[in-house]
Amino acid sequence: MTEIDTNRRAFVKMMASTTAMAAAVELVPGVAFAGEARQGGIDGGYKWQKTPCRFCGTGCGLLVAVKDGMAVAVKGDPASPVNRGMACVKGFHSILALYGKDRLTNAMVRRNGKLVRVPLAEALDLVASKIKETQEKHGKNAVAMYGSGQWTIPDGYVASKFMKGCLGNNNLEGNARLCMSSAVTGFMTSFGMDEPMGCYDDFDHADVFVTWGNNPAEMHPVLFSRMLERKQNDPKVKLIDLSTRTTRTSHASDLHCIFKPNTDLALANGIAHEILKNGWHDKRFLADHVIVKKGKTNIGYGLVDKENFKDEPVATDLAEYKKFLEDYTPEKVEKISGVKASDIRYLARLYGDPSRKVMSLWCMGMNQHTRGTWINNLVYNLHLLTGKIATPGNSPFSLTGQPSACGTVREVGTLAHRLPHGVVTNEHDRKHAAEIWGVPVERIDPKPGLHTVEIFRGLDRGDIRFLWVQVTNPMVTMPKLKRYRDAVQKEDRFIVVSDVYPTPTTEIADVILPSSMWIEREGLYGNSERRTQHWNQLVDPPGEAMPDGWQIIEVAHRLGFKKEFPWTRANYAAESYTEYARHQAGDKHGMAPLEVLRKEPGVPWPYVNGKSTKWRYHGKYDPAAKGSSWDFYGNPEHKAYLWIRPYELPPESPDAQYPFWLCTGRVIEHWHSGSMTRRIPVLHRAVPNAYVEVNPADAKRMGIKDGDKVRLTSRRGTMVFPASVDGRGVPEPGQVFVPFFDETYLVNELTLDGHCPISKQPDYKKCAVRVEKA
Amino acid sequence: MNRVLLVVWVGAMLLSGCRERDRTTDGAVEGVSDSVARAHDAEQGGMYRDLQAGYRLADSAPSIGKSRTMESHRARRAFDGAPPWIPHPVSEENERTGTLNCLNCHRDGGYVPSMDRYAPPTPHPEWTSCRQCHVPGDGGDAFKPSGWKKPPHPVLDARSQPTGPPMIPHSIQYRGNCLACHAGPSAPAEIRTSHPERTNCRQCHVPSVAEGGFAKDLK
Repeated sequence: MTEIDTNRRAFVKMMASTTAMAAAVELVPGVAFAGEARQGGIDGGYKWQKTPCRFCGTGCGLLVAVKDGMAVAVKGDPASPVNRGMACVKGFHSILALYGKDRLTNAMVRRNGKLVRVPLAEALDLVASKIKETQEKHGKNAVAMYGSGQWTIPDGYVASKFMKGCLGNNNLEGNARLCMSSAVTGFMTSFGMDEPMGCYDDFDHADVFVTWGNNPAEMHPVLFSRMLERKQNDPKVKLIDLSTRTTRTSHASDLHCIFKPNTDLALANGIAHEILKNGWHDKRFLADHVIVKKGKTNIGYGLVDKENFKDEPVATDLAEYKKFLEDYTPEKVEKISGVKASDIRYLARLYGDPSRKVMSLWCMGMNQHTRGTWINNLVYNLHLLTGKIATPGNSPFSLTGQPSACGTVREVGTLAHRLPHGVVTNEHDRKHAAEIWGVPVERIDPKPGLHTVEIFRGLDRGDIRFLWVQVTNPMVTMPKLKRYRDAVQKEDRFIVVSDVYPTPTTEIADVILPSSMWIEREGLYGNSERRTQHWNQLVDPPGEAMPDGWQIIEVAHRLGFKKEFPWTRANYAAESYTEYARHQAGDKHGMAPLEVLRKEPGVPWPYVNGKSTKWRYHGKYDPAAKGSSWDFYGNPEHKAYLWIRPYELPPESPDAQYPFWLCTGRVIEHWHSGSMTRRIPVLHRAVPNAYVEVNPADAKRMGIKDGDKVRLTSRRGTMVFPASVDGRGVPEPGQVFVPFFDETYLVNELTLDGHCPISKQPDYKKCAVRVEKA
Repeated sequence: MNRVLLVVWVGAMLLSGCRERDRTTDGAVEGVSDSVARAHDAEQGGMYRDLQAGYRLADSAPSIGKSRTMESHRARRAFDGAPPWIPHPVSEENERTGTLNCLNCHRDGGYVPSMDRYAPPTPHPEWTSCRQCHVPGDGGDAFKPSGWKKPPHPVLDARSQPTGPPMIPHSIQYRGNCLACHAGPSAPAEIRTSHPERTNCRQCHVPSVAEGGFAKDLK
């Protein structure tokens, strides 16, 4: 046989095999058997039990298999309407985060600068006595607690009851202040009630997805796959990416518009201008359901300690709004934002076309913004102008970063001004809370406490002397980090940290309490679409590790608050949830009872008469809405507010000395400060360290090659990073981007603590830096 | 030999191209090669009309390049059923989402000369945001040592009696497409079926979804 013959045979064989594979992948769609992989069954030799994912605010339902006391496998829950069986790489490997060899399993107390292992009970005694001592020495408001959107609902509720109902102290914050508070104030100012009116069903109905400063391909990957699926099923569906940097989302989009940092304000107004100019607005909807408002301008950036901004809203009309928008013609906005006038007109057409359903999506790009409340308002304006809101597929959708930023921080209200239902400044709300808590109403302080940045500033100034941190890592994530790291290490500051691994925050702790993580205890989370999800304890926590909420209750008991917390470690999660649900009772925020949540893969609120409300503020879908169409009952007039908000500059822009923009953010592999995901080998190997993304043209000009060392310097600090040139994200010329997950490259040494004066949420996306080859 | 490899590569690429057209023309098979047309028939009927193709497929061991084994298959997953990581370098081009870059090789499989082996086809080509679940990196540990222990692997050849068909020992969620992993030259020899032409796999192979058996007391 000749060589050629042999090779020809090999070729024919190969072709045949390839064809078989081609047939194989087409024969059976991958989801064909989803129904059989049902919840609670034995499948593949495992018994699967449900839990929401530990990571982002998407709130995927997962199924976890346990063997011999260890979590051994994960898959997406096919019964969950969120992810329908899918997961992302973090979710699939989430259980590995429980098993890092350096898990904190015992309490530690710092004595003479050294951490000493002590029995947990002794550490809890010390925490209780320090709270008492601080209150006596420095006043009751010298104590603060800083929690998290990764707190379970019961743990956040326990924290709220302990701080506000027992200690009479409103210095209670959650790290959602750094991620979602602009979304909250956006909702509150436009609709008078927090959280989205729509739900994830909108992904199946929308014809146009507009992502505003948002990279869901990496940050909300499962929702992004739902968008791609929708696009595949209907070629008419468009994905428009509006961003300051080219990301994986941009590559999958039909149109990618790059705007200059902070000019999203102008862009939104430009689209509104074009909608009104062409008469594409819904006149009837505007007349019946919308009030035009304007507030103060040039509102500052919260850069000075104790800066206290109060807006003074004034009702106005459409005529004034039209006149205001004359400054935002597409040509003028092109000059400000860099987005082509023709693209602005196209965007206006998409929003304005009555035959298209539009979903706007955003997360940190719009929220971590010194005009975060404003840009939230301005995107709502587009949906209010066109009446594309609160109906299937017409949905301004604020995506959440953390698994329970909604469920815990925003709904339970672990924020300085909030109560589980309502605000501390409202007498009726205080009475409501005090009655359920069984405490005298006078005990609840009517004055809001300090917001997150001010708590850390307070540690620096000395008005905060005791801080208890749970489920978050502020010594990586606070902006302008050096000031606050120096602050917590000052004399006579006492820091308690409850965590699962050693972090830069445990390094500054006086007491470290080991926490039970995720499925090591019973809990509930609430995701972006108002869905509450329950899970049972599936494995035991290591060593003396204890749920965060139970740590608080142990301390509360030591301080004499036994009546307020009459629960056991085994039942406190269930009991506190049931008590919490009483705060929210009613058709506007009713929560599903525990027995329903135990069975279902999550239940969205408002849960009324055994049924979830998918779209709020519309009589067709929402039992609380009066009439057969829209009823924005969050506002006293039952109308939504359309806001006149101008484009303003950020506090710091590039100049001759610091000529580059610095933006920070995440990558798909890592969760926040990386303390969990970096301990998962698969994820760590994929992205082992932080880097600085440099635009290829800038890199060429400065002689920077991929992997070279690059020094970034801002007015706050300086740091050297390895360069990433033309990597997964590409910033524009004159911009750099750094992910913040890596504790060895603390990029927040460089960032600015300027924040939105309304939401008090810092802007991690914009500050000025110098870039040099190191 | 190199020239022949090039021919093989071009052939494989042409074939992928054909599949692409097949997809975009909504079922029309015009301009599609015979072999692909057969594949199309298989979609309609679940069985090859041309039995000749089936005979050729039966011998689907890799004729060139390196074989994959269960060991390498398992080494690329944190646990059985976890998404495998990407064991080869990926350029920024490969990182693009919503495109067909990964799927160029992993939709239909085929011999990849630069790696001297067959690319395994994905069981779920309809999902195109590949890097949602699959990330690069092979070998090495985490930032801090992990105490994670892989759970035991499922028994590969569980049969109720020696000549019975083996049962499906794993979850089939997102992996319900048996032939993607169990047939063809990219399949590990240990789990490669001897009869890929019989595409109705679950006629004989059933998943184990319950523990124990069923019995009833006489009343």
